[in-house]
Amino acid sequence: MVTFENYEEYMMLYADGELPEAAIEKLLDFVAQHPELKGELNAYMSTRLQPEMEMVFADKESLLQPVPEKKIIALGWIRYGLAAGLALLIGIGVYRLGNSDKTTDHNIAVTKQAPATQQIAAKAIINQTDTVGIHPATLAPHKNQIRKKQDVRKSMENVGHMQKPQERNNNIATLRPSSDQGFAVNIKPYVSDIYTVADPIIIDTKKPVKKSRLPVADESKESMYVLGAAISERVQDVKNFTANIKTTGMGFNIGSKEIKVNF
Amino acid sequence: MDIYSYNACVQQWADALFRFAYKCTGHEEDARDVVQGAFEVLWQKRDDVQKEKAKAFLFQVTYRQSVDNYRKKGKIVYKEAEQIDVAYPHNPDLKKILDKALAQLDEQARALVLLKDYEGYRYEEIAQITGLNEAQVKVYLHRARKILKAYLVNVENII
Repeated sequence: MVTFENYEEYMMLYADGELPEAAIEKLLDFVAQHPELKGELNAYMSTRLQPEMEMVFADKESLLQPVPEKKIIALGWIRYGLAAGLALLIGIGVYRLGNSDKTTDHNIAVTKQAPATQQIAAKAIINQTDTVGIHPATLAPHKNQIRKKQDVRKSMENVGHMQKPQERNNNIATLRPSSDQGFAVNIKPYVSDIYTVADPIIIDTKKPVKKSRLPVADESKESMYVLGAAISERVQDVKNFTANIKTTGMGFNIGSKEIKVNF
Repeated sequence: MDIYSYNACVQQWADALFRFAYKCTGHEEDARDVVQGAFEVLWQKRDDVQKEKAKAFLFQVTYRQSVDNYRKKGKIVYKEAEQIDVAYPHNPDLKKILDKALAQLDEQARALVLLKDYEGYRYEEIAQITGLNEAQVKVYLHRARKILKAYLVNVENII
């Protein structure tokens, strides 16, 4: 409660800005009830100083501390070297990635086309029977008698047993191409999926393969069957051999692509 | 406090400190020296002073140095106080009269009034800066108010 004994205390607290809102109302009510105190209240309120904002500290920069500059590593030409090296690494990665994709595609293509290639190759070799020079005399075929494939296989097995491995290799070696006969398709096994023959197969591009019956004599046909059976046996040997090879390999990642190399 | 915070304090508080120091010491060059010294102390103790407490720390150092400076020189002569023009009694410059009234206070009371009116510190904060307790601050401030009021009333009476 504001009284004549404490009103001056209220006024000084009011001038100091320390008087609560409720107490301010009480003081103002008391002053309103006693107007003779209004001049004294104004005098106390006039003692409040106002800062002179125009008064400033000149040359504040002299008080500032210099901010240390960030160290800039002058790489110079090293920067370009690093960039070139990085570009080279990326290029190698892209190149290997591209080759890996191509090789895989090629492998798949060869694998898919392998049966057809074998058939074509077999037919092509049949066309060249005369140049191969294998004589089926040991089989003692009958003229004008068409044998079933089963019989031919059995006969070929006999040939295989009778021939020495070196001779068999020579027979296959004779299949190697001459420069004027065409090109050799060297279908090598890739990865673990070894399905095709390991030796080159001659495809005679000059003589198109015909699906119709061959215009040859029956004696020659016997020789062809024998030769075809021998090739089939050779293919089967290679398949059996490769099937026994244990697949090994290694893998690594380039980016998000995983590359596996089996051998 | 890092160097960036320190430099921010310079930009933010140098002027206020200078005004306070100038009103305490009464001399512009002394005020500059006091402010410069306060920031030197802050820089030396930047690892111990938190960013939020930097302003109070600066005013504390400035207060002490200003009081010491005043006690060495002993007299305040404000330029503004010398320029009070009594030829215009019906239009007195209240600010200049107040400067003269302020010069009548002792160095401690003057500093308390300045901290209260210029910076708006509360009793508790002023106590922390000046090293007094809150009750002392209140008593000294009220005593200073009475002196200032009495000076203003007497001037009005003269006028």
